[in-house]
Amino acid sequence: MSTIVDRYVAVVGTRLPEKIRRDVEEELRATIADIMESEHGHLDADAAAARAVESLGDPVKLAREYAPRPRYLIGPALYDDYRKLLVILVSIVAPIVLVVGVLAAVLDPQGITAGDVGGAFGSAIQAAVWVCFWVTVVFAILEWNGVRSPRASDRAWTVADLPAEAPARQVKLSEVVVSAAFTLVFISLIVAQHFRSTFSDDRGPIPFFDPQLWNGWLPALIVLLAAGVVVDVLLYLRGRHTLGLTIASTVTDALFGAVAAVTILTQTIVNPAWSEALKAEVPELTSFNVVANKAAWTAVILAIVAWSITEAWLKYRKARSS
Amino acid sequence: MAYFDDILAAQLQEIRRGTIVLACLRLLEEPQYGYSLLSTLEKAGFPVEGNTLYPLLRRLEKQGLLTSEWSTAQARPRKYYRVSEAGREVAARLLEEWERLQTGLDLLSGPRGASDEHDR
Repeated sequence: MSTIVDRYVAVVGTRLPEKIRRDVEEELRATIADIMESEHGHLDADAAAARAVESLGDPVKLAREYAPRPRYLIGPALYDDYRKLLVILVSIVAPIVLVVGVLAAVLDPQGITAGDVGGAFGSAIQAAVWVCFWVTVVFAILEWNGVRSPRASDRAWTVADLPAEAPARQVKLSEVVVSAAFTLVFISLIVAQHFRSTFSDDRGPIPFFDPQLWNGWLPALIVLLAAGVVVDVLLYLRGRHTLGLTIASTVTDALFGAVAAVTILTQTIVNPAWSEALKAEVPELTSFNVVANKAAWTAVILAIVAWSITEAWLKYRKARSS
Repeated sequence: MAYFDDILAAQLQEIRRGTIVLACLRLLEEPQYGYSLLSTLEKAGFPVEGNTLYPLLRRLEKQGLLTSEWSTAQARPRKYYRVSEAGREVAARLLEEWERLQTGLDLLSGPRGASDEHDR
C-alpha cells in the first residue's frame, strides 16, 4: 500500500489514546481503501491515495474529532478562581518586592543610585510575571486533573442561593472615622512634639524627635499618612471596598512601612538633647537601650503595617462575597 | 453577500448536524461499514463529510447507540455498524420530536405557509 496512506494514518494514530488507536487505524485504512477503489479507481495507486486522504482533510483535525481533548489550559469552571487569585497575589507580591528592593537600595552602604531603584522596579515586574506563570501552571494541572472549584455545586440552583440584597453602603462611617482619626492624631503628635515637650531649655521646648528628621524624613511620613487618610475618605465616598481602593491602601501602607523602617534604621530618631535632659531629670535611668532598640521599633511598625494590609484585603474579600 | 452566505452555511450546518445522527440510526437497521453509509446518506440527500461521519459513528458506538463488528468475509476487513436497542429507542424519540417540531413550524407559518399535504 502507498506510503501516503501509512503516513496519513500515522499522523492520526499518534494523536489518539492507546485504547482506541489500533481500531481507528484499521478502520481508517479500510475507509481510505474504499474511497480509492470507488472514486479514484482509474488513477494509479499514489494519485488515488493522495485524492482519498485529501478528501478526509487535515489528519490532525480528524484525530481531534476522534478524541476530543480540551483545547484550553483553564476552563470556565476554574477561571473565576484563577483570575481572583492572580489579581490578589500580584497586587500583594509586586509591591512587597518593590518595597524590599528600594529598602535594600537605601540601606546599601555604597549609597543609593538610580540603577538600584530601577532594579527594584524590574524585580517587582519579574516577581509579578513569575506569580502569573506559577499560578497558571498550578491551575492548568488542576484543570487537567478535573478538579472543580469548591464553590461549584451539583445541586440545582434555587432562589435561596441569591445573595441578600447588597447594602447600599458597606463601609460604615464609624469605621472610616476611627481609622482617619487615629492617623490624624498620629500626625498631630509628630507635629506637636516639636513645639511642646516635657523638657525645655533657654531656647524653648526640647523636641523628642531629632530636629534633623524634619529634613525630609518626617515630612515624607506625614505625606504618606495623609495619603492614607485620603484613601479612607475615598473609601467612605465610594461606599465599597473596591479592588482599586484596596490596592491603593496597600501601596500607601507598604510605602509608609518602608520609609518608616528606613528612617528608624538609618537616622538618629531621639533628639540627643532630649535624652540628656531625661538623664538629668531621672539619673537612675542610665540605660536607654530598651526604648532605643531600632530593630524592635522597626519590627513593631512593620507588624502594624502588615496587619493593616491584611485587614484591608480581608475586608475586600468580605465585600466581594456579600 | 459573502457574509450572508457564511451565515447561511453555518446555520445550515447547525440544522443538519442533528439530522445526521437520526439518519444514521435509521439507516443502520441494516449493518453498513463507514464508506457505504456515507454513500447511502449522500444519495438520500444528507451530504456529510467523511471526517465528520467516521468519528461520529465511533462516538455513537461509545454511547451505546450503535454496535460494531469487524467482518473479514470480504477482500479486506471492514467494520460494520448497526443500531442497538438503545439506539432504536433514541431514534424513535428523535423522530417524534422532529414531527412535533414540524407540526409547530406549520402552525407558526399559518394557513398560507402550510402546504396541502400538511393540512389535516
